[in-house]
Amino acid sequence: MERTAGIQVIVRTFGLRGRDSSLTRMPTGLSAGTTVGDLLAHLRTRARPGDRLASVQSDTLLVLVNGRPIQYLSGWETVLRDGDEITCMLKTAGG
Amino acid sequence: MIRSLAPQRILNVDLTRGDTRVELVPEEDVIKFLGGRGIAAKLLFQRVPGGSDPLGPDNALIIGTGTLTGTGAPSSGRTSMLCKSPLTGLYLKVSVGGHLGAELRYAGWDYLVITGKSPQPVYLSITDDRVEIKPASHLWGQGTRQADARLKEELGDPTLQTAVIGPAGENGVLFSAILCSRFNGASRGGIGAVMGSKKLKAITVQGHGGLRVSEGEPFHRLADAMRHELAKDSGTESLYNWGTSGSIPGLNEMGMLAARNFSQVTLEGADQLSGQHMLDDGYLIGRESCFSCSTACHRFVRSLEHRWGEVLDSGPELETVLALGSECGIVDTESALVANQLCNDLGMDTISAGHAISWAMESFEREVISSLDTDGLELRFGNAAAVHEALRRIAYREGKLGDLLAQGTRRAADRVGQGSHRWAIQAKGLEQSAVDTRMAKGYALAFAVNPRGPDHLMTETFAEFGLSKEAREVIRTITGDEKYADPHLTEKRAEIVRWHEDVYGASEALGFCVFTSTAAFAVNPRNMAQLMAHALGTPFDEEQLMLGGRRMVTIERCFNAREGARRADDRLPWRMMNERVPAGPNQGMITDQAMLDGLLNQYYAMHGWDAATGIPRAETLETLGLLDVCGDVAG
Repeated sequence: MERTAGIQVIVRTFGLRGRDSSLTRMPTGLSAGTTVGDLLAHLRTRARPGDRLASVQSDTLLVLVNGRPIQYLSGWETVLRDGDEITCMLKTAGG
Repeated sequence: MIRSLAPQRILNVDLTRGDTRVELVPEEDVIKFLGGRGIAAKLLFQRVPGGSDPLGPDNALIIGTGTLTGTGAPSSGRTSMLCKSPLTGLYLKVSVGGHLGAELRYAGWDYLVITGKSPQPVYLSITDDRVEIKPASHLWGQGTRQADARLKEELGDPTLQTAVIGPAGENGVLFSAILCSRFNGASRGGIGAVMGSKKLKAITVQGHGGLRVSEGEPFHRLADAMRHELAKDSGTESLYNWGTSGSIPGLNEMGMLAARNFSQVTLEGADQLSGQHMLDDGYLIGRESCFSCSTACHRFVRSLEHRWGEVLDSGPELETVLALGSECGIVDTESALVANQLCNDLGMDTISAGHAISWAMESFEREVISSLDTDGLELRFGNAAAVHEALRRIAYREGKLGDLLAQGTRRAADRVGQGSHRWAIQAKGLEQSAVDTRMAKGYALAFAVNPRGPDHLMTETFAEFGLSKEAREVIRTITGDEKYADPHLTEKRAEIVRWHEDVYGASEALGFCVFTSTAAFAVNPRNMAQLMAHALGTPFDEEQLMLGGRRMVTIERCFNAREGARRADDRLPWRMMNERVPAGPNQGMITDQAMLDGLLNQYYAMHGWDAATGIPRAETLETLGLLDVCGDVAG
């Protein structure tokens, strides 16, 4: 999937890769038609041992595409477009 | 003594006369008003005459424990504190965690109603049935931490529970707080100033009794099941891991971070204020639970570099790091910890203090006020040292700036004029908490109708974001379709707000932390009602529970109506209604007057309140069985 012809997106994760308590920004090449669900599966394959990303359940993640939660888009089936910025972090609550 | 949950006992304390009187709550009131906030709201309406001076002897400081507080119900240690607010001149309820409520109940008391005004500083000492009003001149002027430690030393009990005010409460700062159990703030609306006006420095509680629920086995079996459900909720895990400030990165990414007095919706480097950063970089040194809570969202933190002074303190919560950090244009962890510690020790609400300062910063940068007005302080966004100094001056009402801001943002803007009300982030006189109500319409309505002013601590409609399957299920239950789990929609917001009002009120009346019922969702109307039935040994269902919530919301509305509040007071800060979101995914959004009017029309109709005035109609009060309580103000 990576660096094939298609689209370039920016992936940011927070709290999912070791001690990344600042946003980790990763330019990522994807094939056209890649969905958010595909992207998550791809990121999991690249997780290092001990990364929360490898084991975290999908429904505990807050995933944003250009700042919009995927719940307001097409969920995990949301198709990514060239230039999209995707943020993955654990859901939080309370204030 | 081990006692049942009812009848419930009121300790009346008259500080003018220096005497006390014991009273029983009518047993039917526990069913009708549920307890805690509900019964306290009824008492406040009945005991504080309309038009009373909030800082005069007629105002009452009422402390109401939840009906399930002190039992094994999960996360049920919350206590409600009520009075007429000196900041808004309206109804005020604050809720506080810690262990004060449970200790009060073990001492044999369910409610304290404190009226009058002592001629000299005093503290109220409660040890079971022994109640004494003791001199406190030696404590007057002390910070909350020092006074707490001194009381424990004097009374020879390091485990006693306290409620203490600091210099801000003594000096009449209109957003001063009461610190309970040393680390838990009852903070909003100036409740500390009410305590200070009575010359009441502190309350100490030592209880040696206990509580017995009526049907122990099913009660504890259900409580245990609820704990397990809570533990499974992703919200609970994040609260344990990172506390409430764990939401910072998400808010910043979604363009919903309150920054620079709500003029921005993101801020570079805001992650430095997050719970994740405080955990990973070693600022977090411990967590603590409130009574009967297994979540432990409360933080203990330390400074590492001591650039602004040494910190060893509780917190800071999300709202604190926003108000005293990003809203002031500061993304410095150490600064946020120092500002939080200052507010805790001086006894001030961090939300109002932060927004008063961020209003002043914007005024300074717009050259509406100058260094002549700030006594030389360069009050610009990003100036951390100026924030710390301003906090100290506010608490002591020192100089022009301290005295100006100590009266809250509304009064400060009124005095300064020059259009500065446009960036005063307040309505009804209360500084808004850091939720951007331009882009979340349920929150916008909830904030506008909130009887104490615009914040998330009377009703929280977090479920409208639909970020978890539990949240979407809540929205489906309320509206019939989870497609309404979208905060940008105006449809169904009245239904969503009213349901949350009822649940929020019921949660607080029973003593539950609302994080368990409106942020996580494992505590719900059904299992709350079942626990109540087992606790009291009487049939009690979900409908009765929700009606109890509705009654307290209605009494609170009537309290404000008696003070002259009308539909026009149900509004949001000027900036929220007149300036569009400047950037990000929600760019251009606004909740203007026309949109708010539409929401209010739906909401009033649903409640049975008069559309023109917003006052509950007589038939509504009759249906709720409230004519005998507040029928005189019916619209």
